[in-house]
Amino acid sequence: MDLTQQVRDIRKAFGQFSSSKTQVCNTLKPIEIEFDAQEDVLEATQSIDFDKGDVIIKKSGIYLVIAGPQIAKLRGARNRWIDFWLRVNNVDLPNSNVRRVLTDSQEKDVIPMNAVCPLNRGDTLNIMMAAETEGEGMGIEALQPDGEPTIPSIILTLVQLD
Amino acid sequence: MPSSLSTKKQVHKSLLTKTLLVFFIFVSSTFFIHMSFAATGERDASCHVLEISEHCDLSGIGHLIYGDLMVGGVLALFFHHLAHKNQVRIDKIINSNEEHRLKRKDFAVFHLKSQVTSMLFNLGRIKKTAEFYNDALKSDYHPLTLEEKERNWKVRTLNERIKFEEEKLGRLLDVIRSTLVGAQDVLEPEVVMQTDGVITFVGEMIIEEQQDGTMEFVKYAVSKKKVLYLLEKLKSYSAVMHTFKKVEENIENELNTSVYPNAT
Repeated sequence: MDLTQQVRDIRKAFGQFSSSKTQVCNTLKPIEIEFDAQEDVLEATQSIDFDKGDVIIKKSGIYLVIAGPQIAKLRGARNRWIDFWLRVNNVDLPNSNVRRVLTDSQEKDVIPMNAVCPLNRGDTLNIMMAAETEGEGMGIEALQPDGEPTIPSIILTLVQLD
Repeated sequence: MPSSLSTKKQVHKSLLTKTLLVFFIFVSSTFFIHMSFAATGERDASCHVLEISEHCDLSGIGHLIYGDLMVGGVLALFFHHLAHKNQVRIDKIINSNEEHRLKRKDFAVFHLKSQVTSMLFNLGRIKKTAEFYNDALKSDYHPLTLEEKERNWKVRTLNERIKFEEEKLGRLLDVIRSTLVGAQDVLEPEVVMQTDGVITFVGEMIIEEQQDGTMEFVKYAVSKKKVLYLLEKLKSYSAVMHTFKKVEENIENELNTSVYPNAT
């Protein structure tokens, strides 16, 4: 089977997005996490698109959304929470919020978020984050370890289920 | 339409079955009554079962065949005629309802198409006005000159214009939402959901004032894409078939070239 044939056989939408930038909560308001890369896997780019923080769905269906933000705190030594949730068409998705409490800058963690939701053609999906404080550099951190691949600040995977 | 036709066939079938059932119940019940009556009376043995003559009483089977079957048949025909007449009336009502539903669907799609196009136009105008406003704000001027007066006038007028367009967009969104609510029983759920998604998104859009005083119409590009996707869907509606054609959802280039190429 040649590659063209293989591309044609893929009927369901999927996509993987990541960000190689550290994004910090500079305000107490919720902020959108931005992406700067999409894995170019076969025709993935044709089925789901993105524009900074907006992931644009091109095929209607039920989607499995999995996101893994690499959270960090740059300053301070007090316990501070940070929340992540999904937003569809500028409206928060109910029951999609996750929280992690960080104490100091040595702590690094990935908190998984997952959801299954119906999305229509043209719908936009955003990953939102909000932190308890704005001055301690709470957010998501991209790392570049020696001799290893980049650790993106977030990896988002979308798979059409139906 | 094929579904309504098959429903009609089913109704006719059940009607016929019911008529036949009534007929057989009538005939069988009267048959047994006559048989029991015939069994009690005495009858000349030389008379044939089906014989009709002056010296012979009519037998039970004779009663059944000459009387009951005929009466039953006439009654069955009469009931069938009444039921058929009723069915024709019901069919007429169903057909007129279906016609009415399709007309409402056509009307809703037509209106949604024009309203969404107006919304796209309005979004473009807000974007452009914000750009003019920013240009006016950044333009060079010398204080207390005619240039400054003109610049201030432009900034003030364009700011008012942006607010006016924003309010207009709000009204347009209300109109689209009410069209959608009124037609949600005739439109496909997918179209209703997609339209609702666009309205929700556009309704949450804001014109943000930056620190330098300039205006930014946040997420304009995404909103335009969403509106174009919706228009593409609405444009695929066939007023003959009363259905939406299946849109090739993964061909981006086609969308860019065919749908409203001059839209800003």
